[in-house]
Amino acid sequence: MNAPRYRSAFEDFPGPGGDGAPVTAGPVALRPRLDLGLVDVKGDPADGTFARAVESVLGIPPPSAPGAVAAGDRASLLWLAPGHWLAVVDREREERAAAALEAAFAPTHASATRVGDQYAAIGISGTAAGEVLAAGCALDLDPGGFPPGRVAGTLLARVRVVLWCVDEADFTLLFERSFAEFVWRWLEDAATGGAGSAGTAARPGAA
Amino acid sequence: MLSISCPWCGPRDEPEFVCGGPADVARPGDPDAASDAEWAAYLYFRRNPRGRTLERWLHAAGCRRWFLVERDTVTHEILRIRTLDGSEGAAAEEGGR
Repeated sequence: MNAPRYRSAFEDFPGPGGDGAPVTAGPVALRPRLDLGLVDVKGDPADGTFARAVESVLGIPPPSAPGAVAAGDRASLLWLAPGHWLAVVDREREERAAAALEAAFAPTHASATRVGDQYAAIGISGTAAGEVLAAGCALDLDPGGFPPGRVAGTLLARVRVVLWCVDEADFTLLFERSFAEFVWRWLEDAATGGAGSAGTAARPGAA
Repeated sequence: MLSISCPWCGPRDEPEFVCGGPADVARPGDPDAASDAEWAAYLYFRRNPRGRTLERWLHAAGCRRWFLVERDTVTHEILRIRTLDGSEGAAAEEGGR
């Protein structure tokens, strides 16, 4: 029997390359983030055993402040909710990281679940990235209000997304993988002047 | 549209939330002793008040946590927001993210 082949969420429609290479769309670059491994982490932040277990495996403790991201050499930890984080690691490390977390959680009540195949992720970068996203997102994405190292669960074009400001003018969107084509095309459209793009009357939340 | 300040995530627009209805409906204390009329009142009948209400809301698109919103149904003013355990939440300390 053949080994199951990994299929990315971006293979079945034209536009994004299957290799995760960036594609220029108007003033921004879009890229399927095929390189991300994701582990859903839940535990009690007040439980020292839990925090130490996370730090021993990922090199960073779980950030307790809402919307915070802890970035380490091996992993980033995104705050999703009180007691709930998303660990972002290299895709090839996902299985090992989840297993190591599960093992480290044995003495306490916490969980680590692989969710890399549940999400699809798109990187959007360029100085206009915030403005393109603002065409469908009500958050204030100005660097003053949403600087690098910040994450938010919110809506983009009515799709539930986890919006992560990775670096200046560089965002990563994580969302349910069945929305991959919709979100990709929406971003292309918003970036290149289609309906709902920055600068048209259909822009929600615009002053 | 309401702008609701999630106790954890800070101010967000109403479409990110789901309203869970009134938070001040008391479940019958002794279910075995409750009459059909008492159950019906608990399950189906709501006051639909004009003015102050206390409701549960869910930040469905964000942290997916339930919390309490006290608001005025006439003016749409939001009077107070609390977590289910009664605290003001972490976003207030963070300066309203």
